[in-house]
Amino acid sequence: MTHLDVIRMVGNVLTEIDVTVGSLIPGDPDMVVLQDLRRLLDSRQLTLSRQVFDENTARFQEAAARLRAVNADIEGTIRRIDDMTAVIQNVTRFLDAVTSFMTTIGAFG
Amino acid sequence: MAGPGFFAAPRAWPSAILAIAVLSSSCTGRSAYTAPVTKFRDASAVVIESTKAYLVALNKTERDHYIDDQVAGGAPIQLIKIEEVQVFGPQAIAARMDALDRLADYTELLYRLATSDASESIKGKAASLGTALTNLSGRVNGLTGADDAGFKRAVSSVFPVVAEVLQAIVERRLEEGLRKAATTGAAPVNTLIEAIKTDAELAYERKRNALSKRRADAALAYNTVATKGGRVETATLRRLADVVSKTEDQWEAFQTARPASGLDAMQRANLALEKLARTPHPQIADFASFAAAVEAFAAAADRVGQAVRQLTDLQDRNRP
Repeated sequence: MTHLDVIRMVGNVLTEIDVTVGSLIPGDPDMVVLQDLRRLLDSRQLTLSRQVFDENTARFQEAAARLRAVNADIEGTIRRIDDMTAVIQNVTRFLDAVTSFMTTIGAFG
Repeated sequence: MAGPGFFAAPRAWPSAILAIAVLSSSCTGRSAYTAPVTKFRDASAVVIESTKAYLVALNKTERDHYIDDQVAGGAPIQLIKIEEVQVFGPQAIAARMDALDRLADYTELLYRLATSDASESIKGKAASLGTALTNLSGRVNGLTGADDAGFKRAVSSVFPVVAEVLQAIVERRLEEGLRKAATTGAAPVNTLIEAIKTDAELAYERKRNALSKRRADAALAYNTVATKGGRVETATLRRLADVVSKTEDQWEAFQTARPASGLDAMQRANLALEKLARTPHPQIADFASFAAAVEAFAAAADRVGQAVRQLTDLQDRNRP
């Protein structure tokens, strides 16, 4: 898995979040939570896109594999607006996995 | 920005043209190669411009993304935050634009070399391009950002190769320079194209993120008015719905405006051209194979170029 693959994966989740936000009734308290999570995930993607990482290390590949596993688990669940509790849990889980990935590869300096 | 950068290109695009140039100067009549050489030059120009468009737009994408976010959340706009989200500083952007322009000049020069007999004029252009590259090297060396490391590395590895080819042209050792560039570049060329693709894809992903957010904001703005109760003017709803519609048009156009697809075709064309350049006695089938690869590259470049233009037009029309 490459650095770009991770950025693309984060982008896919952001796009899913946006489809959900654009489908909720304004004023829904879950929307604010989802928008806050989106902001954090967007910030993570920007940080990743501004740095160069060595993708050929075991550390990078193992961390990326863990992230991919979480992504596979939540895939297809973010658009389910009839269960916003699960949507928020899944987005939070993905955000935590991205944060953990970035910590492992030293993206936060 | 990750990856060595766009600036690996000098070995890439020109190498393919050089391969054709070698063939055109030594194997058969030049006129037979004019069409594919022209196609390759034109396709390269389109891909260079499309890649530049993404690079130029990268900072704007981040600025607008931040501003849109503040507007959507009713939050203050802080210039310090705008500066923080810029991927490249102004000097770094200027150096990258300059580098891409010089690459376009280089591709044009090699195209002329393959299609023209005006050797004095070509020699003059090679000399002035050499001077411009020297100036650019100095400028690039002055960049100090952490994001510039990959760019600097790419420039420092590529420019000496370009300088060597230019020097051969200036000294009229044309065939030697051309053959050397055409037959030794296969692996580095495709590695470098891969690096360009990575940078272009990064820019594409950030743009996708921003457009995706804009889609959500447009729908949210409409829904906020449509569901607030009381009487809402149809004209207001129509205006907000138009924004949703235009944003969706942009989103649709964006899906095909992917510079990497042009670069993929460039890699395939480059491989075909390298293969031909290494064939001792090329047959008709060999020429047909490389001509087909150039055609495919030109078609892919055309698709990307049109999509990028369409996207730009839609964005311009969507401004208030």
